[in-house]
Amino acid sequence: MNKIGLLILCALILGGCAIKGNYDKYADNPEFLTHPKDILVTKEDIVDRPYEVLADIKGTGSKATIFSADPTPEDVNRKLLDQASRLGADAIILVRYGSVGIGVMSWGELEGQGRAVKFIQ
Amino acid sequence: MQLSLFNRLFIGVLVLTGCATAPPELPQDYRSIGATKSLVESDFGSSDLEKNCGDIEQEKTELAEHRQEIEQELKKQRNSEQAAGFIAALVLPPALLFMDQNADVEDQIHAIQKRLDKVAQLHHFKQCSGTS
Repeated sequence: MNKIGLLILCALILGGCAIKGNYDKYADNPEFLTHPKDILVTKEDIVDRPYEVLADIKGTGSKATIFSADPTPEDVNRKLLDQASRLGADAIILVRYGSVGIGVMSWGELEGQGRAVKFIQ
Repeated sequence: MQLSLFNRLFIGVLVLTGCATAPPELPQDYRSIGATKSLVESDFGSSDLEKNCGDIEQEKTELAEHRQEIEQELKKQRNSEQAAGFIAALVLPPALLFMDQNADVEDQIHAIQKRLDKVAQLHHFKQCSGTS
């Protein structure tokens, strides 16, 4: 084995020893205007606070292989939150889900949608 | 024509899992600051207009419970049909054609969601207090 091959092998082996840090892709990233943990997700409408609509958003949860577990509404919520975070939303309302089945790119997909809104102070 | 084991499995999985269905449509925005739609009496049927806030709340609760029951049943069915489908695909592929595809149940969920949206509109139109 040449030196480069040996180096790559070492890097791969040592890479497995990396400690998972507290990296938060949403923190201090100007691309995300609101942190997902601050965004409310609800199947209902919000009646006690005035709001403006930012956009109707869609998200799809997928399973990686045929043997993986089916995607759940929580997987879809993560995708929706990602989008809402970029829009600077305070909440995603009227969230609803389709049913799990084969999709174009996956053995199992679950699609969901909701309305990203921002509260008016 | 004799199908290989892999092909049988592939067809089986395709047939039994079916295609993913889209979520129910979002209702038109009538509540936000910039809403272009405002609710008028003609948006509702006469039987709906006769309902009071208590009736509306009760219907909303019943619909939400019914939807939850159906969703749980659908999830159970999917799990059991996946197992049955693998077996059918291996042993008797034509059996796959007779498997329930849950299309009617999914239609039912969409219909419930549509009614829930209408009930929420009615709740707002009648200026009932509480969540809608």
